[in-house]
Amino acid sequence: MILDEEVFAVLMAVVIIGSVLGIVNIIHISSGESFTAIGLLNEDCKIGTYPKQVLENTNITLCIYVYNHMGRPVYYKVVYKIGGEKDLPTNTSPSSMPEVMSWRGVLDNDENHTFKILIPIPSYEKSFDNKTALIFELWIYDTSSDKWVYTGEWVHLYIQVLKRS
Amino acid sequence: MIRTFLYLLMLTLSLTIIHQMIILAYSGDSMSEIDSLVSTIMKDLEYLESREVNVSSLIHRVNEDIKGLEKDPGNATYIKDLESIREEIKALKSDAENIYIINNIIRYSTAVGIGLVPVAVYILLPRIYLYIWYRTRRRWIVQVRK
Repeated sequence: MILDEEVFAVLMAVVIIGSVLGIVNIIHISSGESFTAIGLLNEDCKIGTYPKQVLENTNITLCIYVYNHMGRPVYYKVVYKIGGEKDLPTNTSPSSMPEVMSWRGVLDNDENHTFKILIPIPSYEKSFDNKTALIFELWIYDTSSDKWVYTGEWVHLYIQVLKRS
Repeated sequence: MIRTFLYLLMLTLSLTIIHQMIILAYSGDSMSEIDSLVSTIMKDLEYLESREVNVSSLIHRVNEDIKGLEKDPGNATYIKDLESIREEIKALKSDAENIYIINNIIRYSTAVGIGLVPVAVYILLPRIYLYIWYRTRRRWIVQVRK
């Protein structure tokens, strides 16, 4: 035999594997998990060096990162709340504290937004044991029910709010 | 006389109720108005994206408008742009199904083409190999060993 059978079999195997991979790539057979993500960055939009002590009734600048991997465009809002350790949200329920501010936007699939936010630190009668949590929850708009739905994702930053003497 | 008065009273009451309803409808906070405007656009954008229509430029415009309205609620420029996006979406929706069918035909034809490559290799490779093998040796002289 001029063409060795084993060599031919190996060549055929390589061609078949290449063909299958090509078809999968074209038809996009994927069972990828859909998710969204939120991140908190400092005023330079970098991780680290977050403010620790803030004077009441002042504003601080932070940066928010939002990522969409839902397989469709999403209308999102980042809700800012202030609370204590016990007021943190869970991955199933948002914080019970009232909304202070929110920022909205639209993200295409596999797209992310990083934007600066100027957040107020109001004075509270009630102190949160020197551990005030700045809570940022990610909500997305459910177009089928026409309601905002909490994604279960949040970020928080503990600060100490200093009272004016 | 009394009947006319009653009719007028009922008419006045009805008009007052309608007026109050309109005021209530538009007295919601500006963000909920944005939400209701954007939700219809988002539904259509989701549909268009599911039909593989490229809507990334429209998404960026909607995002810019929302950010603008957050800073300056009720700004006519942004609301106008959202309205024009809605019109553009309407036009795209009518072509969406055709685009989807054409894309699917191209995709599955390519997949079938790639699927036929191993068959073609199985049939043609030995023949091509033999053809080249004989062609490179065509000037060879065969000699019988003694």
